[in-house]
This record gives sequence, structure tokens and C-alpha cells, in this order.
Amino acid sequence: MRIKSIITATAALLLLCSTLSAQSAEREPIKTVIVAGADGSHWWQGACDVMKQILENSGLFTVDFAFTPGWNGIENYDPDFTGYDLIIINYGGPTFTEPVRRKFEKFVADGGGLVAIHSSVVPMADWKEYNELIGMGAWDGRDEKVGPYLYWEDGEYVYDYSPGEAGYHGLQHEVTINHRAPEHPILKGLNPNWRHFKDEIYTRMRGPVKNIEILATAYERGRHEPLMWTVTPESGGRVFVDLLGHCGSDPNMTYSMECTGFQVTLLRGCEWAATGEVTQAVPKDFPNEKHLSLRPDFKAPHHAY
Amino acid sequence: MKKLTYLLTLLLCCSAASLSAQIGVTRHTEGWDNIPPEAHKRSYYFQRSVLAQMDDDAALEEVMLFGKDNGHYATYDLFKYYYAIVDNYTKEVEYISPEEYCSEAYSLVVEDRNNDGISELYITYFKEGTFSTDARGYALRAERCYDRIEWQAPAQTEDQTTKRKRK
Repeated sequence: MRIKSIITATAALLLLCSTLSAQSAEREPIKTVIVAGADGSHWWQGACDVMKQILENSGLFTVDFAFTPGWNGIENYDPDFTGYDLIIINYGGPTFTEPVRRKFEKFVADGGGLVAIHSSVVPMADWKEYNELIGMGAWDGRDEKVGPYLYWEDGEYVYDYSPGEAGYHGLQHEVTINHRAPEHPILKGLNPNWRHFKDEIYTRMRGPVKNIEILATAYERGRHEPLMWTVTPESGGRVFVDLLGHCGSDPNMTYSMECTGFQVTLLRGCEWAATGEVTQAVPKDFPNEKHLSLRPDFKAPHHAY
Repeated sequence: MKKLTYLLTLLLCCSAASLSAQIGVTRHTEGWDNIPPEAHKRSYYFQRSVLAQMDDDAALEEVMLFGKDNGHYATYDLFKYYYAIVDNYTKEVEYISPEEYCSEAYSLVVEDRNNDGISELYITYFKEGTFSTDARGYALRAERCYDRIEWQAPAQTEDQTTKRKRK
């Protein structure tokens, strides 16, 4: 009787330990660093604060910052990416020095995740490897020499090699986002067409477009323009590019990031880039084709899950 | 032979003159700007215009609106703008609004409301260009002025308080 009780208690204890261990493994946060520090047209500080809130409020991420010195002193910028699972780049400043560029490339090649937000497709056009990591970019001298325009038409990718500068945006506005890879882990289960809150919609992207998968588009000026895509570099790692998320400096505002659709796809894109999978449930407050949804406190409401 | 040389030289000169004239015309055409430089203030951009009869002269005038972004908020944008009235034939600037206005939309209303055959320019704007919002950029508050007469031909001016003289 006594032996039976000891065995039962031991088994229970082992079961409890293994359960706690499994939960602990599941809850290991994704260590994230946000690279930012200069951007001529955006309130990058506000955007970084908001993304930190969005990520940390989910309970899935911890977030640090690695800010550059600003417009001057990039030669002194030496971030340490060791120990991180994910880099989010939210940057529009001068090109990193070669040692930092190599460190950045190595981080992704070694399997690290990279997420590029909004104006991060603008700077550093002179950094070939960066252009390949983000797939497409705009402005900063990018034209037909960097590669074709890429857009979506009738279920196919259109590679447009016609000459011309990359990058265009008009006034900010609400837009309908159309998913083009609904089975991709980042998008799976989400409404495939949804209203995005007011944002600055970048179009006419062009670049090397290698290993690229268009996730979502919006119809702008006669084309279904990619607004979210992934790049899976042959050298390793995963990249998620999201052109949404403008945070203005005229005045300082972060309303585009209040959109539930932005927050949910950011969370899922970050998890996918860092781990290759998405474990997050589909929230009930995700927008649809007719209705916007906002999370002004940058966290899921109590009824979302 | 001398005659042939003379003829060839003459032909060459004529061709050069013709080519020069063509280049001259081309350059003139390419350089032609529908917007007189003196109507265009720095950092403002041409937004839209209408052709209208703004005075008793037979030629029409082009009423041009120049504007720029003045802030982007969650549920509206704000713009700053001014007007110019340009003779459509001579491109002479007849009028530039002395103030820059602010509101959520560009306002360009040109109508002949008193039916005298000459149109007036009406404006809508925030009083003194001032407005306020809450911390998140919502809840716009401003005192709006609607349809004030910005310009009307001096000969037909009725209300001296709204009169704007030609330059």
C-alpha cells in the first residue's frame, strides 16, 4: 500500500514537472531587438514604443532597442545582436558601416528573423545584400537598375522591367488589404480581405525580388500593389516585410498602428520570422471587408480570444 | 564649281538656320509653364484650378489653388492654401490671396451668385488658421468660416469688408 502510494506520488510529481517544463518551453519569449534611430519623414521613436507595447503585451516577446546615433555618427554604431531571435528594423537613416552590415547579414544567415517595417524599405539602397533581404525597396535612388517592379494581377506575379524610379505614395487613407497567400502561417485563418485604418500606402516597389512571396496587396492606382511579403534567403533566415505602419512626424501620430489588422499581422509576422511557425490563435476582433477594428491600447481586448 | 560650292554653302546655312529654329521652338515649348512663377510661393504646390469669367474683360481667368499638407491625423488631414487668379491668355497674375488658409479640405468655389456674368471666388477655412485636437489626434475643434468672398472684380464689389484689390 505504502509502495503504491509512493509510486503514485512520484508519477504525479513527474507529470507535474513535465507539464510545467512544457509550459515553460512554450512561454519562452522571443528575444527581439528593434533597430531604429533616424528617419527624415517619420516619428520613429513613437513607432518603436508602440511596437514594443504590441509585442510585449502579447506575452510572446521581449523587446530591446538598438538605436543609431542619428543622422551623424553612424560610424560609431555597433549593435550586438547576440542572443536575439529577431531584429525588427524601423529605420530610414544612413547606411550602416561594413562591420555592422556583415553582422546584420550573418544574423539572418544564421537563422535569425528579420522584420522590416514601412520606411525601412527606403534607406541603404547602396547595400546590395540589404536590398536582397528585403526583396524590394523604394526611393533613395532605386530605379530599373535594382530590378523590376513587382505587383499582382489575376493570380500571377507581374515583373515589370520598365524604367522608372521606385516608390510612390499619395495622401494617407484607409485601404482594403487582400491576402494573396491565405495558407501562409502568418495569414492562415484570418479574414482574407479586411479594412486597414488610415495609413501611408507605399507603391511602385522594385528590387531584386529573389525568394519572395507576396502575402497581401492593396489596389492602388490601377495595380494590386504588394504591402506584405516574405523573403526566405537561400543563405538562411526568414524575412517579413510590412509596408504598413506609418507613424507621422507631421505631427507625431501613431494611428496607423492602432489598427487591429496591423497589430495582429505584425505579431504573427514576427513570430514566423523568428521561429518559422505561428502559434497564435485567430482573434475575434480581426477586421473584415466592411469593418475596421482598432486596438488603441496596443493590446488584445478581453474578448479577442 | 564655284557656283556649286556657293549653292552647297547656302543650303548648309539654310539647314542650320532651320534646325536652330526648330530647336528654339522645341525648347520654348518644353520650357513653357502654365503656372506663372510669380504666382507660385515656395513650398506650396499647385493643386487644382478652374477657368472662369472673373472680370469684364473677354478673356477668361484661371483661378488657381496652391496648397500643402498641414498635418495628418487619424480621421482627417489638414491643408494650408492660397489662391491666385491668372489671365488665361496673357498669364499675367491678377491677384494672389494675401493670406494662407487652413482647413480639412481644399476649397475652390467659383460661382456667379449674383448673376451679373462675372464670377466670385468663395473660400471656406478655419478662423485665423487655428484648430485643436485631443492627444491622439481625434476630436478636431475649429471655428469654421464658410463661403466668405475671397475676391470679386473691383467694379462689382458690394461689400467693402470683403473686397480685395487687384495688385
